[in-house]
Amino acid sequence: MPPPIILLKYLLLIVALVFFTAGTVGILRFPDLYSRLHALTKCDNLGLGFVVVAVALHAADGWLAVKLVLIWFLALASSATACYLVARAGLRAGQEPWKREP
Amino acid sequence: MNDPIFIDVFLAVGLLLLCGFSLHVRDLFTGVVTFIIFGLLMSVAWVRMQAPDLALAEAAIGSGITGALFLGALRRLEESAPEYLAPAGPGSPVRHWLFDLGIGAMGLALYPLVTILVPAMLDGPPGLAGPVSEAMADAGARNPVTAIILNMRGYDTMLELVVLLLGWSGVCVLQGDLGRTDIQPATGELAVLGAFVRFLRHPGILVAGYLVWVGGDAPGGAFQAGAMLGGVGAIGLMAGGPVRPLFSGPGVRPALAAGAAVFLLTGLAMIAAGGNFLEFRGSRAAALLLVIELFSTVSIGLVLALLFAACTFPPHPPKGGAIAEGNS
Repeated sequence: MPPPIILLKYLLLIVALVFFTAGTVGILRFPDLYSRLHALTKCDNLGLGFVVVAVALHAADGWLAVKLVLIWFLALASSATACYLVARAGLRAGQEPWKREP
Repeated sequence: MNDPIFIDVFLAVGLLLLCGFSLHVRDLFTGVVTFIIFGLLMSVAWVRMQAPDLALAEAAIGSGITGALFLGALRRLEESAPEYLAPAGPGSPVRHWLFDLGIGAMGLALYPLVTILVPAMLDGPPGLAGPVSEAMADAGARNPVTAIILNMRGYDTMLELVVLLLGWSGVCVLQGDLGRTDIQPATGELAVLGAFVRFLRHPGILVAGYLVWVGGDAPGGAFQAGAMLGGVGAIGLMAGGPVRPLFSGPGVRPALAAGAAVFLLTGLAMIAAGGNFLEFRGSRAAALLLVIELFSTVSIGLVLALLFAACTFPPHPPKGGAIAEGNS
């Protein structure tokens, strides 16, 4: 039986993989630009967040863990901004939001 | 640490495939996006080969800035010559793919030659690792990559800075407006991007400064830091906002030339001090290299941001818009 900290790391990585897989399936399967963006940012933010927590637990010292969390915050800010910009460009280019057939 | 080979195999195969796709795909936009992904995977490959300097440069310049330049050029092409974008007929013929596969196979065939035969013939590892490590004591930097780039082959690096300057001049000539440094970004409510730039600019400048400073001891240096500044500048120019005045006005052209000029003048000063051109030795070397790197960083960042602006924004501002302060 490995120590619980290792189990926790594996668990976090598996959860991250679930988010990444769900996001990727969403990009491939969702019907329009906006819902695909929605899927993408979920896997970027949450999947990467879980990876960062797992790797931070693995890190040799606290500073490295702090740096990893800072990197996550940067990724959060840039992915939110990029998502907004892509959606705005799509709206301006006349991309219709998907609606369920009546 | 265990070293799983499948990551390397995945990287090698993936890089070859991405390379082929970015060259042969029918849609130019897909080609550019594939090229950016190629750059990202390539920087991972450099990390795997324990070359973090190259990984940083590849991610920042090869993938980031170059990708942005390609996307900008694509947008300009859409506006000015859309007939080049429309995919005409089928994609690349099979013989193009076969030709590339042949090139790849030749590369693979060279691998045993380079890794086994050449070292056997030379009776030891090839290259200049020995002479470099002997010269390191007097080179002004503890990071061998920085010592080589700035000191041992300083000619090369100085001329790279000149090439960047020439590239920017070429863009100015092509736009029919030599010396144009005023930027007229697309107007519009880019409030979110503006907020992002305000959030990013100070960490960005901090990271660039850190990369220059750390270059003497660890991976980093002027090109990586310049790419960082260039990236922040490019986003800032897109957002409009407070970064913009930095890119227009009388100080821009001297700042563009500063990297190459300081490098050249410092190299010449070495002759005056009784040494050789571009040969920095002794106790002053570290300080001289840092000064050169600082000026180069500013020039590289500025050139990259202006190149991005030149291929993203139209050459002549639309009438009725706000007039950027000129440079006449």
